Amino acid sequence: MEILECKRLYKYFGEVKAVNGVDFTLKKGQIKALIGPNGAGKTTLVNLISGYLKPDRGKVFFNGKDITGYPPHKISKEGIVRTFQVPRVFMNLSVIDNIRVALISRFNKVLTIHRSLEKMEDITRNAMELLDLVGLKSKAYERTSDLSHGDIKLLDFSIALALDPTILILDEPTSGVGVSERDLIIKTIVNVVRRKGIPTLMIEHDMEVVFNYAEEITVMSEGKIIAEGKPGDVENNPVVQEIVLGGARRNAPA
Amino acid sequence: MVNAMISMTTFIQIISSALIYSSLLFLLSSGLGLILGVMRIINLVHASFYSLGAYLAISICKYFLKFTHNVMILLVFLVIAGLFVSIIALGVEVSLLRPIYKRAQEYQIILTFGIVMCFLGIIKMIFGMQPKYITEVYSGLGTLEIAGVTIPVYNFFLIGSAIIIAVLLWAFLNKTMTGRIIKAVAERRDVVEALGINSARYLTVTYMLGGALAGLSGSLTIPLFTAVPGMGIELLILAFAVVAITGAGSLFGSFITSLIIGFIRSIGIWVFPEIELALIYLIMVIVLIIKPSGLFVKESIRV
Amino acid sequence: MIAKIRYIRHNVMKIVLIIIAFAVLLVLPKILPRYQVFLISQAMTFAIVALALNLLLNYGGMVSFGHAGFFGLGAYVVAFLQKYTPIREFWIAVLLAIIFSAMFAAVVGAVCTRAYGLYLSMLTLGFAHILYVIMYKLWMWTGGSDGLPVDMPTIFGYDFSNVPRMDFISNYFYYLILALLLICVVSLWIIVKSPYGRILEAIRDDEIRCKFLGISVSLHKWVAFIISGAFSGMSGALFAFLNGRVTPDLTLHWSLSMEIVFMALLGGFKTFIGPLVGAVCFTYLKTYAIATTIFWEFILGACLVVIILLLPRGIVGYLADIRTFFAAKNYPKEGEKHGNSRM
Repeated sequence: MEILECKRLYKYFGEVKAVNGVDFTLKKGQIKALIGPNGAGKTTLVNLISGYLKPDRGKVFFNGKDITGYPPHKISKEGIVRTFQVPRVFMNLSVIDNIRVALISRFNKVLTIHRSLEKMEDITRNAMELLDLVGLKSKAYERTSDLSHGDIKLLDFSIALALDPTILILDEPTSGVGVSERDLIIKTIVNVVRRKGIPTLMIEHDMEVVFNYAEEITVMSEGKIIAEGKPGDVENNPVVQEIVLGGARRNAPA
Repeated sequence: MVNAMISMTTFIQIISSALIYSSLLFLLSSGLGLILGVMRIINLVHASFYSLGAYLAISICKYFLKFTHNVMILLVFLVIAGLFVSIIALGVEVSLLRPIYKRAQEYQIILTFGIVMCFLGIIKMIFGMQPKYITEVYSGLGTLEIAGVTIPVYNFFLIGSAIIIAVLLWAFLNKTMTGRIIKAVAERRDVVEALGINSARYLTVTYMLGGALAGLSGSLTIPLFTAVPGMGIELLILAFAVVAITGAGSLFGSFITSLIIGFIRSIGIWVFPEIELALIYLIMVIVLIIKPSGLFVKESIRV
Repeated sequence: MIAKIRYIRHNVMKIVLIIIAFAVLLVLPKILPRYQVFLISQAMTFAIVALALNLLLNYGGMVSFGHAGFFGLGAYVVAFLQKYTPIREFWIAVLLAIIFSAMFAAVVGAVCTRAYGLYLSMLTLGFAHILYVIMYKLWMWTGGSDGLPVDMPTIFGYDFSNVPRMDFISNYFYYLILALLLICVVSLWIIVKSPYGRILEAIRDDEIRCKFLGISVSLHKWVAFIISGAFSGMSGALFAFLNGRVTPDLTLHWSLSMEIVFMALLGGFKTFIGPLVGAVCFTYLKTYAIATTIFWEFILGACLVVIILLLPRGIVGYLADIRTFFAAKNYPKEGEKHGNSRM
């Protein structure tokens, strides 16, 4: 059952063919990884899906609905929520306020001027639950700028969760953290996503994470998808090995 | 109200006054735009540099008028007075502006506002509150007759100086090493630093240059006007509008925009005097809406 | 309920201070000479516009160098009302001032929500200056540089024309301004603490993320402009009555815009109450500088420069720093909430 379907997407930046004829799907309940070398077009593809960019050609369907060209806030309301490679959180707000802002938007209370936010207990309760899911509940009232990078990544993720997403797109959720923190982060994310049954697309560079947690892998290179399938199949694909996994091994000095 | 027939006299008068005003605007706004483009600061102190240039010119000329009536020498002193302002600018930059480069923009602008206030007080203290003038320089050069219109020779001197300064400025920015580094700093200061160049020094040079331009705009035009302590403040906002319309850092654009505004003002004064100033600010707002980086700048300044 | 009690206990000192300050303010007209009361009234008037500016500056992240435009428009509305209509009622004048300033802010805001950084500031400056030039040049209707006079209003229909002006100003009008200042402070506090306020701050911190959260960023920024403009207009109206005369240089000049920003910076613009403190301090600073010497611009300018260089977080910020310095010795124990940060 395809929840997300991209048909023949193209995106050019002048001469550069960032996304060059991509057909992509995401099924219900799937955790899919999108891998490929730098400049393969992964983030551009994600930008096209999430509305940050408009495709030059091709269409994006969500639950059968044509959402091509929708602006970001509309796509977000449709249920496609993304995070960012460099985490975008609200540095000058408290941790819990980051979540509350997302919840305010979700519950359409954005223009409420006359009631204090503190008094809106359901929003605070929801926010605390979400923070609990990612293990940040104890830091709820701290200033976000005081958090460690790993915690910020988790916060970024839980902001996305706060919007009650139908599908999640995570742009390099474990980049920039040490190995033990990485494990914690990815385990937390996968647990939550599996428990809530949210189809998730992850851009990842860390192959350990990809092969341990992804149910299906899509490999991109130079704007095209060059391989797709279960981790075992992809791992043994010689083209993939060349481009993504081991090309460096061949060229290493003897 | 609008006379359909323009006589030759009126025509030349309009051109003459437009060119004078454009020269003033160009000298003032080029410095402002340069500082904005390179240092990303709205330098309100420019108003003070303008005033200082004017007052210094008056003081020096008045002094030397006791010894000589050779107006040519006085013209030289006008230029010297204007250039001297760059020393004052140096002092300001090093002592007051440098510490706050890292701070948010609001602070920087308010700081320059404070400095303007200080200078206003200083000017009052040193030069007094009475209006001052050196019309001797203006009249001392005599007049010329063109098509029945009497034009003071000084006007030609002013317009000619503006053109020469524009050319020199262009040459400096594009043909000398210092100038080109300054342009590079305006584009990407971090890259310049990475090349091992002490960009702070070039910021100082830029500020001094801007100060000199402001000082010159004061000293060269004061023979036409009367000096009062607050003179720079009123003019600053107009120069500001020119910079906003042009876009910071475009010398050529600054030249053209000054010309256009000079003519709009001259024609406007002749047609409907009251509103011509508001028109200029309206143009500024419209330009900022349509093309925030200004008419002559290709990409937006990273502000 | 428990949360309320805890809130009160936590902020005992602040609440006590506020109550004392309010009590003192209530009593002042009885004990101080009339000119001092006039000064305080003026300080309170500017406190309103400084607080209004801070909604945009701190909570919205938008630097406006054109607030004199909203302020002055409110003042001129009052003056025009008196010149061209027989209406003398205070509340009608203030209401109209708010409405017109809000409309002007709606126009300015609509344009400015799409601009950022220096461009935003330049635009606000430009808009305000257009108003200045219009009021200055159309002297047949606006009184030009001499401006227009403003007489004492009727309040709720009650006529004060048998009361000498100075008595009126330093008594009835003082309490009126005090009451309005209070209303402003409370309103702005509610707005800032509301969901809207939080969203505005989120927009300030990361606009793009907000778009991805489904928030219509432009709308929120636009609303902030209107609110800020409305309060500024009210402040201008109060000033018009207080001063008795409205001129372009007093109410619309760009230097006034700079002064308003400075008030916010002086008090500490990262706090809610900072601009109020800054407005009060600046009013006294300027008044006494002018009274002391004809070179008052130098004194004022020097103070500005010194304060900017030395007090980066303003007066309130500086006091908070001192407090933190002493509090550091009593670092929060295990389990206590993290500090008293203005969350």
